[in-house]
Amino acid sequence: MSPELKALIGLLRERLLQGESAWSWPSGIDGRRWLALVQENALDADLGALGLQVPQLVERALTGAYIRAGHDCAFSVVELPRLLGQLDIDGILLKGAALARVYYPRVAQRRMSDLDLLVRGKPQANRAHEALLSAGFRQEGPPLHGAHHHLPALYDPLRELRIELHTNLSMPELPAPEIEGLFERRRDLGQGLSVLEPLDRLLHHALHAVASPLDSPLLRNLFEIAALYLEVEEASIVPRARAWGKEEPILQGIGLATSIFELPCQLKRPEEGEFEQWCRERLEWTDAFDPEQSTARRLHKRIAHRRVEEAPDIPLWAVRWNVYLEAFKSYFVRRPKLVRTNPEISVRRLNEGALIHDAVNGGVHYLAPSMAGALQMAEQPISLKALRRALRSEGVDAQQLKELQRRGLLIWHRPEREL
Amino acid sequence: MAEDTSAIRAWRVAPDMALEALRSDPLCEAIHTVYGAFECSPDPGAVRLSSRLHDDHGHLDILLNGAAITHATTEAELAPLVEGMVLGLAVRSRPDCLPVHGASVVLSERTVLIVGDKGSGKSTLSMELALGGARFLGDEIALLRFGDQRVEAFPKAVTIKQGAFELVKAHALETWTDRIRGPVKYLLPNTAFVGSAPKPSLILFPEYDAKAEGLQAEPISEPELVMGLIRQCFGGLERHPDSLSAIVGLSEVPGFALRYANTQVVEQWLQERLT
Repeated sequence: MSPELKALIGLLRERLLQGESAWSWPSGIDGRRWLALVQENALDADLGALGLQVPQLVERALTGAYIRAGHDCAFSVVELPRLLGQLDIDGILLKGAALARVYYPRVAQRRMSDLDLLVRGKPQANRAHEALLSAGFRQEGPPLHGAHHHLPALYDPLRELRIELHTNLSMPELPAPEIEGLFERRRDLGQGLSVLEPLDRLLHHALHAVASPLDSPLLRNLFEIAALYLEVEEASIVPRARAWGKEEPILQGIGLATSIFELPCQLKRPEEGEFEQWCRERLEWTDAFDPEQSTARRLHKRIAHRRVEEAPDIPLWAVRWNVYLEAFKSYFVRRPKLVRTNPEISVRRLNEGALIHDAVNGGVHYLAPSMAGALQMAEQPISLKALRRALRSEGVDAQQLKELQRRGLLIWHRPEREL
Repeated sequence: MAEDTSAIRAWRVAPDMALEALRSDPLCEAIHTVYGAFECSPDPGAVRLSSRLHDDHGHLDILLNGAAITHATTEAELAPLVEGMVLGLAVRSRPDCLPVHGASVVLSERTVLIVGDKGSGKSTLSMELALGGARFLGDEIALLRFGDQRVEAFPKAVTIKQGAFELVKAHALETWTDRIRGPVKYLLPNTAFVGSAPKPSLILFPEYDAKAEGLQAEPISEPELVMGLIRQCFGGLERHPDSLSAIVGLSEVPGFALRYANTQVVEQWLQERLT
């Protein structure tokens, strides 16, 4: 374990056991790397609230994150109860939205990208979904196929609110009486808001923290599991987890959290295996959300993804071989196509040219008319040769195509073998 | 029991967003320092802002409708904290407008939009113009109405950073502590008004340069102007489907890139240009 990760875990452990006051900045650690780990795990706003004695560069970044988070979360705090009241939606706040109000002293300390809401049953969820759509929310991504425990996320860019409506806590689903039990035991926060009671909150968090460790801030999730674990009667955990039919994954999550933070735990934790080892490696990452990753990192992620989310029963060595083989084939069997980066592009004429707005990455470009035409033609994947042929009569040359590629509007796409 | 409304002060920062605080709460003075132009009569649907002592260190939690959002380590931090928080609340409550990072004033009955990054000098320029008699619409956010591009005023007090304290030494202004920007003061020009002003007649992209001689005013092309506005859109173009159209609607307005060391030469140039 790197000294920076060790120092961060040490700080979080101090907070869990006795508050942050006893912690001091350890000597010999790289402040930038420590800060990158904090940011990777979305802990910057939380630690920024603590007034830690840290190097100035780190202190400024943490304080800035905390203050900005305060500015950003204020509207959702005001708007969410108003919106749910207006639309007559009865739900239980889950995950970050709940923890921000019941565990962290101030909402700004818990960063969250969306608000998860558990509603009673699919008919109610569908009604709430429709009500949110009529209130200006838009569905993100394609409809979900097959059984799922939540509906597609809804986003309102005006309110800057993203809401995900859940009908269950996980897949395979918890039995219906257990969901009913969650509603019976829930804790009222006032203003029409409620959260799961502490034991349910711990179990749900433990289920999720290890369900998607690839793209989530794993260390923060483990920290929260550990914090929730310290709040409940240990003896009550296994019976409830068993009733949910989720004993193994829940104990795996709690086991990993208590092990990472070296907390006393009397539960019969599962033996640590390859998965836990991989999670420990994952904790060292500082660029999981960076699209410009090295091939080695992308390979590692792909292996992890297969192992964790697609084929948990296959031995890790087999997954590794499979991914390496794919990478090899992908390198040699290239079938590149030129394609528009995304279909959500809007065009407005301006002067002699056109304004191109890419709604996915927010990019805006001013293009000459012929270049805008090239972009329109590449709506479907098209080979460069075919595109050149199609554009010859439009007066578009290779230089202009290269310019569109340079701006990221047209890309080489390998649909079948993409790593 | 109904609350005594005389104990409450309220501010309407958007048509559908009123705020209130108890006069006895230190937060009340902080809000009024920054958002005094928005004062209104008490509203039963207002969002309640309050502060409470959090711990032995004297830290003050800031609450919205009873939920603790963030905290200040001293009372001197309250105004900068509520400045950003209320700005976020107000802008997200305006589905009818395109918010642009920019100042705006009305001079000789024409609206001038001053767009730029932090540190470009737009706040100081708008303040100087307002102190010289221009009607002050705002120094930070210009709300451009979809459809007709009229400017909805957002006259938050101008935030003056330490480097510009000399400019306002004639005014008895309290110094507040911003944990990111350092010491700041707030000045609300007495020409501030809340309401709607005509579509901009001129768009400026200022760049304060202490070494500049006189005023360099370069006209900018339509694409440059449009791209400049897009870069300064609050929330990006994804915020509203009409955002791009609203900006294209401004593309015919004359735009200038200004480089200057002295705001008086800009004021003089503006007077000549607008009359």
